[in-house]
Parts: sequence; C-alpha cells; structure tokens
Amino acid sequence: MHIPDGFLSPQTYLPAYALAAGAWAWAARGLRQRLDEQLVPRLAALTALAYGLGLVMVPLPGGTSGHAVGVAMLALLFGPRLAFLAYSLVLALQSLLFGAGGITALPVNALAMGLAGAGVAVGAQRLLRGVNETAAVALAAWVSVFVPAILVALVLGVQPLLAQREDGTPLFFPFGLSVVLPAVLLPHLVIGIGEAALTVAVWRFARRRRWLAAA
Amino acid sequence: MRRARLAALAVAAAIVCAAPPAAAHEVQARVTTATATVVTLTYADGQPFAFEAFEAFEVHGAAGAPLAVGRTDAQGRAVFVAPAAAGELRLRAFSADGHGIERRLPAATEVAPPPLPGAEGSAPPRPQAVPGGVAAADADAGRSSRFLFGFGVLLALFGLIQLFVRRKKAK
Repeated sequence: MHIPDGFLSPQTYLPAYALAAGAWAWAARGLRQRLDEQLVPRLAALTALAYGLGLVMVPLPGGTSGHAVGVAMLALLFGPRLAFLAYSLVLALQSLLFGAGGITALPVNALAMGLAGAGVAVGAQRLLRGVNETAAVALAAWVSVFVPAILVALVLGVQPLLAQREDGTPLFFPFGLSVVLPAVLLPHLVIGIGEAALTVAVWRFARRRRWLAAA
Repeated sequence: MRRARLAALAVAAAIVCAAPPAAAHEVQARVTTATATVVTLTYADGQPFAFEAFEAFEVHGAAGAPLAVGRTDAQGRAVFVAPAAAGELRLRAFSADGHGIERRLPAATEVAPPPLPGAEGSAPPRPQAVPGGVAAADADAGRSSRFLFGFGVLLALFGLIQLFVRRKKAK
C-alpha cells in the first residue's frame, strides 16, 4: 500500500503535502499536550513495532505479498493524532531506508494510512465497543487497513486521467480504476484479518498492563 | 472492349504501384546482436517482480517520451536496448496493485559488460549495483543494517523527547 516515487502527478502530491503539513501541525500540538514520562516509552515501543511490522512481507495467494500496518494499535492506544504523527515517522523511515513508499508520495501515504486509518479505527471502535470490545477492536483494525486501501487505490487509479503525454498515454501510474481497485482491495481483505488478530493481541497486552488509560 | 480491359488493367497496376504504405501490414523479422541493459527487479523477500510493466527514460532526454516500454520477464528482468549515445537513464516499473520502483541507472557507457563465458580468468558475472539500489548478493546484509539503523533512529528520537519531558518536569 506504500505508493512509491514516480507514481503520482505533481497535481496530486503538491496539494497533498499542503494538506498533510496542516495535519502534521495539528498532530504535533496533540503530542505537546499529552507528553508525559509514561507515554513516551510506550509510544516509542509501539512505533518501533509498527516500523518492524511494515517490513515483514507475507506472501499472499495470487503472487503478491502483504504486510501489517500497525496504525490501528497506535490509534486505539494513543488516539488518532499521535498515531498519525508516529505513523508518518514510520513511513518516512521506511521510505528513506528501504524505498518502501516514496518521498513525493509520503503525504498521500501518511494521510491515507496514518490519518484516515487511525481515524476510522478510533471511530469504529467507539461505535462498536458497547456491543463487544474484542470484536470492536478487531473491526477497527480491519477498517484501518481497508479504508486506506480504498483511498490509495482511488488516488492511483485517477492518475491516468490527471496527467498524460501528448499521445494520450499516462505520464505517471498507468492503470485506471477498473484495474487498480480490485488489485489493491482484494489482498487487503486478507491483510485486514491479519491486522485484526495482531491488534487484538496488542490491545489485550496493553489492557493487562493498564496502558489504556493513556488513550 | 479490349481497349477498356487494357485501361482497367493499367489503372489496377497504377494503384498497386502507388500503394507502398500497404507494406506496413507485413511484419518482418531481423535478428541482430546488441548489448542490452538488464535490470532485475525483485520484492524484498526475493520474489521476482514478474510480468509487470516498465518504462525506461533518458534523464536528460525529450520530456515524457520513454526510450522503451515493456514487461518484466518471469525472473523480474526489465530488458531494453538503450541508444549508445543515451546518458543517464531512469527506470520505472509498476504493478496494478501499486507496487513498483523508480530508479536512476548509470549511462550504458558506464556499465562494463560481464566477461564472456569461457574467457581466460573470467569470473561469474556479478550484478552491478545501481544508485539507490543494491546488488542481490549484498541485499540481505544491507537490509538488516538499514532495519537496525531505522530502529536506532526511532529510539534516539523518542529518547530525546523523553529527555525534553523530564527537563520540562524538573523546571
């Protein structure tokens, strides 16, 4: 789901940088308000976990591969603002060190996975926690993968319409929505299940350790 | 009547002779030998980036127009022949699910071809590293080092934040 460099047109990533800059400033204010000696090591540990998880590739049927995201556990434990900030840091490191996602695509990746992923995770969990807490956490994790996948697929799929060469061929990502949507979304149906299992495990661990009061 | 037939024949012959573009329907094959640029693309786990689309551009060439477009083969190799005068190249490869890569490649003249098999003292060809990428043989060690470096960056950053919080609390 990490969009690499060269896939997005400037018409996409320049406005995304402007939007992400505002969101990063908003999230940084949230960090300043909530900083304390107990929160920082926990946030560091789970950010490092998200960083590591994003680099463990799991083969999927159909010849592709996937990896966990980890943004749901950050969002459920620390709220969407800190999760967005921490996950943006993860994306920047993955991009700079591994080429997993591009620097030009960083704001789109961060807004989709970091902000939208964290936001829908917290929203889903709050909506459903009255019914069943574990199911609410699992569903929150699943939507935190699937909703960003939809956003990333939409952004990629509109690129052929946004920028073309003189002969009409796409200048950036060449595949349209009809190809990209199923190609991106079908593997993420499965990845979301793995993410849900992982998030529930981390959530239970955090509850035993009484970390949830920090959220 | 005979004159009319002759005239019709002449017209038909003139049409045939005046239609060289029709030759464009006939595809001919010509086998030549050339030095190709071969870029092997794999996922981090070594799985080949197979049968995916790629485009190669000259970095300082005409804007937008690719030198070559094609698909990687079963081993994930993007193979194309760059003009001898081509400078630095840029390769972009895409899969429909949003994976891919964009890398600058050295000019064809800067990449020494591997020694011919059987040549005296020849060693097995070793993949050449491209800027921003790594040769396959070094990939695993490099990946572990980069992973640990990133981990260290995270710990250092949060360590600094923790120090800031403690100093703020002490005041």
